[in-house]
Amino acid sequence: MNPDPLAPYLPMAVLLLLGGVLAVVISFLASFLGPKKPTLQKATTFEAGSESSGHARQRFAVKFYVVALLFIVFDVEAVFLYPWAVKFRDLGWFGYGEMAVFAATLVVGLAYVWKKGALDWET
Amino acid sequence: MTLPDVTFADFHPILPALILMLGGAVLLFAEVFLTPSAHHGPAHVSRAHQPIIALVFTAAAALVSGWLMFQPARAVFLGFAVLDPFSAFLSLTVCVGLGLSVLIAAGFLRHRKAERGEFYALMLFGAAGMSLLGVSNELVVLFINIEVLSVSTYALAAYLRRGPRPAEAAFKYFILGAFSSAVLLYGISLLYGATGTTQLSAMAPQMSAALAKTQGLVYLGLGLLLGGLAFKVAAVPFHMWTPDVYEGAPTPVTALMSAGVKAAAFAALVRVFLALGHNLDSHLLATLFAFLALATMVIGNLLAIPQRNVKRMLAYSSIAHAGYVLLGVASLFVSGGAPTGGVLGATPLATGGLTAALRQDAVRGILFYLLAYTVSAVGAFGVVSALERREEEDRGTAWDLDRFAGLVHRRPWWAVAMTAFMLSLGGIPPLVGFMGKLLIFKSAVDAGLVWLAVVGILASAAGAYYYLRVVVYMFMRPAPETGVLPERHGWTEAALLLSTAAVVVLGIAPGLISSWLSQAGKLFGQ
Amino acid sequence: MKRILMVLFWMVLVIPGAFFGISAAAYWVAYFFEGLFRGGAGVGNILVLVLAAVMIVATLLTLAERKWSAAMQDRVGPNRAHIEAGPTFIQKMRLGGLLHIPADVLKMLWKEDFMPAGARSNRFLFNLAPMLAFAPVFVLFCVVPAGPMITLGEQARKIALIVSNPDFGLLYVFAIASLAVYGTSLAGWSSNNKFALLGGVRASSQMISYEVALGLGLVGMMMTFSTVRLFDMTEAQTQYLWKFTDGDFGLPAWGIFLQPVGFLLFFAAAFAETKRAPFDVPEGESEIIGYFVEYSGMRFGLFMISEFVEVVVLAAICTAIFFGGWHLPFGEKALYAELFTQGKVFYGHQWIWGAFLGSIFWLKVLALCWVQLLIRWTFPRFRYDQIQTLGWKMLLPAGLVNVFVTGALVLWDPSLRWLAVLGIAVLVAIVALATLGTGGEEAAHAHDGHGGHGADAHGHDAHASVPAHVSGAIAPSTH
Repeated sequence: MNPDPLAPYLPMAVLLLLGGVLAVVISFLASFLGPKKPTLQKATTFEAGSESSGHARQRFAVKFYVVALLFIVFDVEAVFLYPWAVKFRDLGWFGYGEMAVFAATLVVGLAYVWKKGALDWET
Repeated sequence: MTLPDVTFADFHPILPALILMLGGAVLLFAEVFLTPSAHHGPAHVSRAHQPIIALVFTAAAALVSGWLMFQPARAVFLGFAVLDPFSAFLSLTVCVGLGLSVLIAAGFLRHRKAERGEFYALMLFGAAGMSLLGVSNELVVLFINIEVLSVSTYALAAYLRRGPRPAEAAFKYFILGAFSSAVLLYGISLLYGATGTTQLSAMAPQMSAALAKTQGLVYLGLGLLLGGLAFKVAAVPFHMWTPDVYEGAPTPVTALMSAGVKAAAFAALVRVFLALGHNLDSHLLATLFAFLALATMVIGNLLAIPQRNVKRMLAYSSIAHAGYVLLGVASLFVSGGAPTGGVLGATPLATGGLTAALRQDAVRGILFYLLAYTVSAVGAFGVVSALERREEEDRGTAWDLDRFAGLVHRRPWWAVAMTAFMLSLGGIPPLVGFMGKLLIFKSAVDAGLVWLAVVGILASAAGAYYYLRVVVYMFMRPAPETGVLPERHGWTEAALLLSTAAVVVLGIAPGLISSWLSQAGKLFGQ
Repeated sequence: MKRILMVLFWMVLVIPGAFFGISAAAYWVAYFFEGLFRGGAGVGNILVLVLAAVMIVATLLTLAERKWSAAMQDRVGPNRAHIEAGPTFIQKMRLGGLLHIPADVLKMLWKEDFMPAGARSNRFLFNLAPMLAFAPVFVLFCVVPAGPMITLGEQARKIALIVSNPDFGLLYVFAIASLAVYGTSLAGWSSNNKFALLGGVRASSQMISYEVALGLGLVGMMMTFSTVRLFDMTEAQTQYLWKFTDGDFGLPAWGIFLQPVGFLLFFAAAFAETKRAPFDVPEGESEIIGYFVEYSGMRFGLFMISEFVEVVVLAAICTAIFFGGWHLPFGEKALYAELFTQGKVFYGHQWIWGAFLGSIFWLKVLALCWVQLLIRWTFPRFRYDQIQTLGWKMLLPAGLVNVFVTGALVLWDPSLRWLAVLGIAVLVAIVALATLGTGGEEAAHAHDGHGGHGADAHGHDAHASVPAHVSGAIAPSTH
């Protein structure tokens, strides 16, 4: 359908550029138009009316890191599935079996993680 | 659409690794399904089944490796991997080291109350990576397998994470390991740029053309590749991490690292440089490896001498042993083309360098040395792990020589075993270490690296000093009055028994495995 | 009666008419630009489709959301904004609250744009975050097709309503959509505020959790149609699974019939990516305010508008993949033959056909936007552990199972009919379980007894946390 393989890239590049420019322009528009009346109170950290104590550069729960690790594993799995998904009619049952084995190894990992309790946020 | 021609026979060379991985998965499942309430406090459930599972799978993998050793060499998976006796023997060595380490770990972890299934699973996964590293015939596959074994050992090094030393060890190992992996990968990418392929068999014929066009790229790529692998084998000047990591890591992990990781990395080194070295200036390679060997042997031994900490001493000694193996590697690359008297007196006795038969002998020597080092070092680490105590770890005295004082009066058989390991590491006949050194030095002399062999012998004489000092402490110093009698662990003692037997039997009668060894010299494509 | 007539007037005439006009304009602008330089059609489409259609729909959604929530809560909704100048009829003009939109924009633009002291150490990241939140969402529409390829004008140029149709279609969506997570996590971190940090890590964790399901949900569709191009997927949905008559009438091979599970996965995951209720723990107005708590003026506006743009784009992607894109469910060929072939009324005016189908596309998009508003104002906020449980323990396994069941059925029967049989069965089961499930809950509350109701993979968790009176609002017919 695209005789010229580079044809889709020009509009895409224009749009990406436009998106970037628009984001920059919009986010700085207000600083030109709006008033500037900085006060000490405004500059404080917002904590719902109470005095803020300490700073926010603190450690947070390890679970977020675990989720990030799991994400890498399973998102990469999904990425491996895409090329197979497009071609799998040609690859037939052999390719299906191969991919099933690949997914099964990751399911083993998922089962382990699940049973280990890494997906439970309450404990 | 044509599918790549892959049959089930292609899976043969990776069978040991597959078995080990399956074992790892079974262990993971055993951990979460067999031990109830994994996250309800430190449940002291019996986990004796875990080392047993690990051992069963290790034994199965070892058996398959033994079977593979007699299969004809061939390339599989479109040339991405190879099946050859060399890699099969390597798998076997890895399995031996793994089995002994598992036995040591069983006693060690029980004592530490740190039994968790992931430990053995990680060991098995790491060993699978080591076994696969031996069969890799493509640089990206090689890199992936190095990562598999590295990531497992990073995690294992941090396994007992309380206290500053394990944390330091794990972090040093991780940061430097990641750095060396990056260096390795960069080297691979440069070689790919120079030759347009990452398959070793396809790259070798391209080398001369690539050298003519982009010489710098090839040499830089090979240099970076060598640097990355030298880090894994702990060769000087890439050895800095070794003492701290070996000391801080849990002792069974140190055993596995010193045996398995080193052996696998050496296998990769030999395979890569034998494949690519054909069309290179072999004089250059021989020089390079000769200098590496020289520095590693001398510096490793010299640094080991002042150590009073036995675990640290063993770490330095493992550097020194890497040097001996590098001596064997260097002798692979000496060829007749070299100007006589060029490098360290490299004057081939037989003109024309090593013949094919002698080269096979050298490969055999390397493999036998790796096996000999595996059984001796793992055994030595076994004794160390049996003697150490958690409370003294933070003060750094857990592995002091004093802990060995008078051991013969308290645990006589441990002292005997340790003596065997020390003498074997020192290269004293009739133990297996001596046979290993004999084979290595013989091929070095055959290749004409006479002076280097002499330096090696002198260095191992210096090594005998610090090995024997341990023996002196065990037999001639009185036991401390206040010393607590070290506990006995059935598992560890089994490991000690097995490795002592191996050290002695293989030393006296190396002919027992000579049929395997004569096979194992065959590398694919050589 | 008057009200009903008003609604009919809007729904039948004004809205379709507006979309018809926009689509027609898009075709002619694209035609014009294609004449200027090669590849200009896409650039022209940027102007009309992305800058006009998507942005206008998104802007109108801000009002529609408030109006719809008001309707659900039996309120009137915003209707006070008016112009304080000019003749009396202008001062009285309220336009059903439409004036709130310009009022909001002006308000945001002329508000003070300040930066809290704590964020000044990371001035660059603080400024970057709203841009990173907005720009990826804005460019997402790039690969979504909004109208068929037709031959236009004297030069007989082939024009389709799509900005760009690269080989990697859907992968572009995944790649760009995943960039949005940087905006939220950077905003949360660089604000140097504990609430914002909490919102930021919650947002990033939630978004990456659901990205897995997002990706897996569409694998099934890639397998059924063997392509990742949205345009080709839309075209593939014109075929009939079964023809009911000899004429142009049958069950179309729409994605929703073939892949209902895939649709639910994708829709739920994409919904979570938009961070709207019930997945709004990263913002949670009533508790932590969210990752944008320290932003003011138009910077905050960027976060907000990107949320609404995301709603539109999500609806558009769902339409293109699961609801036949711009295609009519049936009778399309017959209609074309009746009106546009040689000798018929509109022969030679292909743009009418294109604009007609384009307006069909936008109507479907609008319907899906409405569904999203409905969900957003029906369900209460999930707890964070429920979000993670839903993502990892339900959507991910369901996605994997879906991929391999689909694969087996497609390989077994390449005509897709068995896949459709299963899909329709699942669809029926989901509808039945959802209805019965809600009823079961009512019964459980009434008798205080058996609480177990059918567990469907998607809605179970949601229903479990819905209080009785709210679930009554979902399915009032069960009373």
